[in-house]
Amino acid sequence: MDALRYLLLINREARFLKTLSSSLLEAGFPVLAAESISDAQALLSSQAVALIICDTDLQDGDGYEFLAALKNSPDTKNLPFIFLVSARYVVDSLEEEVSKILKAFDLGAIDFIIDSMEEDVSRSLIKRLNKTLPAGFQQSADAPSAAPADETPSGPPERRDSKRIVPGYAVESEISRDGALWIPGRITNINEQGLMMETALLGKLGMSVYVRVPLPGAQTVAIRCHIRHISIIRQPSSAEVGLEADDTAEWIEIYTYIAKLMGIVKAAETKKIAGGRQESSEAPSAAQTLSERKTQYVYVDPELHAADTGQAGKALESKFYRSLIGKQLGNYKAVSFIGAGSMAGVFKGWDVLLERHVALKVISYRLSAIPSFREMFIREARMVSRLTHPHIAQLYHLDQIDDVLYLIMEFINGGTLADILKDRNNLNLAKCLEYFITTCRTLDFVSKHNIVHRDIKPANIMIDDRGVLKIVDFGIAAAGDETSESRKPEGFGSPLYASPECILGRPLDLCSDIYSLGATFYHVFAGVPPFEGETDDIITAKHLNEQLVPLKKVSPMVSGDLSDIIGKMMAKKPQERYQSYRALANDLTEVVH
Amino acid sequence: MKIIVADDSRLVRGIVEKIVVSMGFEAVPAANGQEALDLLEAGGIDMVLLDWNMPIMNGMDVIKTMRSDESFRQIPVLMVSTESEDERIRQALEAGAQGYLPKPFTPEQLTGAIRRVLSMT
Amino acid sequence: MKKILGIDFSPKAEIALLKILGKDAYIQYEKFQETIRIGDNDMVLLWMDEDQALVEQKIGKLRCACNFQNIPIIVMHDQPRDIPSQPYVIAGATEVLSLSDPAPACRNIINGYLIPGREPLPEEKAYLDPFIRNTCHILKTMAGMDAVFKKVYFSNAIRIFGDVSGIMGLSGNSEGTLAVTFYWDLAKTIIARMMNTEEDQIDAELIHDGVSEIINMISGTTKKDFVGKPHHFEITLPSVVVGPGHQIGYFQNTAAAVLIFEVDGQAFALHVCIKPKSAAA
Repeated sequence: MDALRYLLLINREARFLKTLSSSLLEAGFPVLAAESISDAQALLSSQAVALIICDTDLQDGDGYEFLAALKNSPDTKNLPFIFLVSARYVVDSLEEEVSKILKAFDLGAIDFIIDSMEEDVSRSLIKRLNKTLPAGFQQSADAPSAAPADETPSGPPERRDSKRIVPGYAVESEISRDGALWIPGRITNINEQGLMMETALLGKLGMSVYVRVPLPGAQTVAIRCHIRHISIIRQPSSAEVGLEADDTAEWIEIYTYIAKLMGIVKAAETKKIAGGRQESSEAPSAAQTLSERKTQYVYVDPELHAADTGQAGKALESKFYRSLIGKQLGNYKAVSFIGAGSMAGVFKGWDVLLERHVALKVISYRLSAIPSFREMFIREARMVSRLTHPHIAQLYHLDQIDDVLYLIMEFINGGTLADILKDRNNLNLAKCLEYFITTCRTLDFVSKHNIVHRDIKPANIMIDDRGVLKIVDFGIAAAGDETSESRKPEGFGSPLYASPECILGRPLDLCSDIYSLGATFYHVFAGVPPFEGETDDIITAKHLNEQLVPLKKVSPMVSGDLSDIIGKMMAKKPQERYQSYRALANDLTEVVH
Repeated sequence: MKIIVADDSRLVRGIVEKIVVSMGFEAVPAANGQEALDLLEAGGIDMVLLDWNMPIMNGMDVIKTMRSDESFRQIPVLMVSTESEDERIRQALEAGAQGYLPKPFTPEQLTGAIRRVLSMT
Repeated sequence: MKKILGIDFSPKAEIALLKILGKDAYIQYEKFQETIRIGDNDMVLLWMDEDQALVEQKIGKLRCACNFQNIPIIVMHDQPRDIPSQPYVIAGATEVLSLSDPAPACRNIINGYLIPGREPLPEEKAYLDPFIRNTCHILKTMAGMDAVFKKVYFSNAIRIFGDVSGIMGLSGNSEGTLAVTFYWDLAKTIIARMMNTEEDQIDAELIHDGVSEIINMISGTTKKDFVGKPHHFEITLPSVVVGPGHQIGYFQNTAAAVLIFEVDGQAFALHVCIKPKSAAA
């Protein structure tokens, strides 16, 4: 595409430039980047620029002066100009801030965006760009080789020399020596024979490595290459390696995509090269060989990512649980982290006195900081500790260290019903019915002690490695329920199995557990939860108002009787459900026979 | 006496070559199995020290090729590898290696292993 | 009493921290210096400057000064929003906290990191001992150096903070990863000793070969010790990476042990994350 015109990003922070460039690039915008006004001017004189996105403070001057200078030159006076300023540097009073923004508009800026760090700034910027730029400005990121040679330029005509240079960005990819451990790499240049990559993998000349690149359409393609050149560029943290690629169809696919993305060759040319080389390519597919290997990644903790993408409360909870990994609380060692729910983080623990594995459940700091919660929690725990039943995970101990409140429970070596649901091939109808009846009888026992579970869901029903079912998490939910602070945003466990009265915050009795039990086993037999939706609000609204699709309709192999039983368990009005587990168990036993 | 030192690691080649030279022998380096075979083709080789895992051609394939070729059949091979399980050693000896030295080794252990293999032939 | 080293805190930030941690906390405040020593402190709290690159450099220096000891470095700031913690964690920070986060959260997280680390379980000791023995044996045999095992701590993932690391993927009956990590100086010393040459003769390729050979030998010899046991594994090709901040794998329900050794007065670490396939969670 001869009419390729760039967005020019100007910011003094190289890191910010790189991140934003790659987001914009992914969205299909061709990008040039500059850290200073002088660099920006050099790019303006050699490249076709369609729009400028600029910070107010730059390495060698002030963004406002730069904008004024542009508006004074006939060549650039019509160039759209957007200020993008990091909130970290906006330390002015509101009045000062407003006056700066007004000044920007007076000078001719079309927008003033403050990167609040609250959300990904690239997203708001892209939205803005889509409104500002002519339709079709974006390169088609989805189909890089689809542009025909004679395509009519969609933007304004090319103004300057069409010679291409490698723009100031790189393509994110990964490199591996063994096809199992993948290390991030950035492709900085590419030609028909191979590519240059910046990476932390310290290889050696001649070494064979794999490179994989995410292509549009969520498909990742891997190729084999040989290291032909190494230079240390940022000692001691990374090297630039020159890689010669094996001549395969996958390589041509990657080359075509990246070359076009970088604007190195015209779309028509890449097509021609790709076609020509494709015919001669008979080398085996590295992607195929690699697909059989178990992969590991060098990457940053996913929880860190969660911390960076809002959900501040949840991120802090994760940080709290993470601080306890590898520690010892009283006589209990936190051996490994299993997972976190809305009320607690669970660790595989080790009792140093009794020398046995236990489940160590650390209560969320949010809840344990509330005195009324602590009281309620301890009261509930006392009650639950008195429950002795082969299908209930035993509560052994309750303690606290400083502010950290924790429970020690029977450790169940096995998986949850939720794990089993993930692999439906392992599901056996008769076995599930047996689990259903066992759960029902166990809850019958519990209800006689006036205890309501309040969070019956597949994740709270475990099957140990001997096939014995155990219900876990009694009491925690109950105590949490009483505390107003815990009701939002995740007062009740999973909305997928919550009863209407639980959603409405009404007092709960065994009928609520019966509803959740019905929803749990609906999911087990149907393979899908009774009500689904993109957000919790949509799901809870459906529990309240939407008619349940009978189980039989979703899963025709299930008997009509079982479908009816679950239908009755999930009646919207508690009084229309089973009023006792005994009646429910009787009906279920009938189904079996 | 001329000994091929085949290992893809320049470091290991360096270590082994020094020991071989200290024994009064000549060391000829090879960075992979194919280079070792090329050196054998050129002639005048009295012994081969072989790493197991090497690019292009690994040590086991070198032994198999040597043992199936009349002109190299008699040249003794000492395999040097980090893989030290009995099963691995058995495989190498069955394929035709005269000796097997697991890494890590001291200079004395390597010297001893080279002498043992040479005395066998 | 736990000792905390507070670095670059302004008087205002000191007061805010005191409010969070209470009067009983023992914090010694200092300004950052290139030659800063961590001493016997149990934690480092670093106040975040405006300049991100500078903060990252300071974290790198502090992490290096920790000499592979499991000392949490917590970066604190007073910016109103949760800023991305990733760059700081890659540089070597343990956590990033904001003074605008709820005080109980900050207090609990800081106190959580101050809880003493656990010792290995008997079953962990059984599979870690061969790694310790073999690592010392390899350095003695190949480099004539006496490495001493100092300490072990546990983490939920392998996170590397050295200059150069050798990584080995494990497969077979057990899955996982081994990683040995050194700072440049020690890597060079060991490799020069292995080759019986001067340190200035050691180039990037020899560092690559040396680190790769060390992790190869550690895995190869230990693999032999596990024949017939659940922890037996197969090895792949070693990868050598440079720079800090790499996190490798994330094995749910598995702890990664970090074994710290000392040789010639310098420390290095061996990360062992291994999980027999037969063992359930």
